[in-house]
Amino acid sequence: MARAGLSAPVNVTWEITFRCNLNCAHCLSDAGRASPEELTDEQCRRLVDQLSASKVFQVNIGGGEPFIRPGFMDLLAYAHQKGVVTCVSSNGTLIGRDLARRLARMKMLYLQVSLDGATPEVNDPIRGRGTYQRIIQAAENLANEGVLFSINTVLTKKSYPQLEDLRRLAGSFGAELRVSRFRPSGRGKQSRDHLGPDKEQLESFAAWLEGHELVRTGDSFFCLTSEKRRRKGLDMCGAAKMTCCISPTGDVFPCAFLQEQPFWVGNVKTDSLKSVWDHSLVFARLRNLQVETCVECSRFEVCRGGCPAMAFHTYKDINMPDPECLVNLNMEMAS
Amino acid sequence: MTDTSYAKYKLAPGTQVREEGFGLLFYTQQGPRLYFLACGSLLDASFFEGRQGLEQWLAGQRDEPGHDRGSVAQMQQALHQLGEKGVILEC
Repeated sequence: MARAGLSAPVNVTWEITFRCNLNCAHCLSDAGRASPEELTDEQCRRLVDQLSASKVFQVNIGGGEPFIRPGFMDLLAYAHQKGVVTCVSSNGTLIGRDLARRLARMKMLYLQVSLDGATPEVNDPIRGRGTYQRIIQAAENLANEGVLFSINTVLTKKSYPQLEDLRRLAGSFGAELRVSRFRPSGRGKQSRDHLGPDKEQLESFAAWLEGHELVRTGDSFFCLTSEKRRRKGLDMCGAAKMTCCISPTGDVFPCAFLQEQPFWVGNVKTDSLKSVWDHSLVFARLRNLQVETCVECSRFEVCRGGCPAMAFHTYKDINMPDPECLVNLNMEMAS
Repeated sequence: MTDTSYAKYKLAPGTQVREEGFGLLFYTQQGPRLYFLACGSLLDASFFEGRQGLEQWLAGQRDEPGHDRGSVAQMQQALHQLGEKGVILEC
């Protein structure tokens, strides 16, 4: 099915602005200032129209910080009105009581709030001084208003030892913990050595994950996912097969972590998303990608070569195995 | 399994469906989760408007590829399973 291609993405990642009030050390978008080329409100609405017409079920909105973009709440409401479910990733620092109250009224919204440590000592060096307290306050506001949300943590050298505390902390707000993978894109390129989890941590994390079925991971960790989690559908990269990414300026890429020139496939200011989805050669290549050195591997059916973005950022070649593959890690650790 | 060939179905709240080459793709906001129904062109999204049961719907599809007794029984079972998972509701 995936090779023939779906008629449209199941979900689309949409980075709605580069603007952000934080300067996180691992930000995949290298966010900070808005670009003058960002989609206008009208262009955003026309994009929502396209998503709705193609029956894209869900749009995952990130940035930058989405809530900092003027008119963002109106755009969310418009997406819901057009039948598109939204999942917004926020740094949480702008979610006061009033905003939480407004979000609670949106039944087609799911929210992820980023927190990179269970203590200020771990979180704040990554996300910025004082952010821990502001994020906790946001979580309280959301919980008090009954907003469905998860706490999103990037697995780093620093956050790994606190995963159990983070899970409990999320639970105290009635939220789930969602662990995302550290990827060396954006500012992550510079912070990889400092923050990227080490091999022992990755291997222990794989075991921890197997014992915590309710912890979400999105599609991040199929390179080390267990057979048990595979049954949840987390067994291959969805880029160009189930999903794609649209940047704040309307550029289309296979995923948020492959926003690099060789993977640019069009721009929604001038191209229809449907046309790009159906005809892009880059997307066709990703749909047919079979990492040659992985095909004979015993775990191939579980991970299918892992994350092409990790391979690209490590080897500049998507036809290479995921550098954090569980099999390779075990072999390296044994030797 | 009870005979559901006359049952009419509609989408559960928070569920969406779209047509694909293999059949139907369902999305449930709860989770979210995806479900596949490999029915080719025998069913389309409008089946879940609940106007006709499977038996009646398929009566008008006898010339469609894949329309035989076995596949109808399979589809009946698949619809039953989607119902058990809360993706669709009998109406």
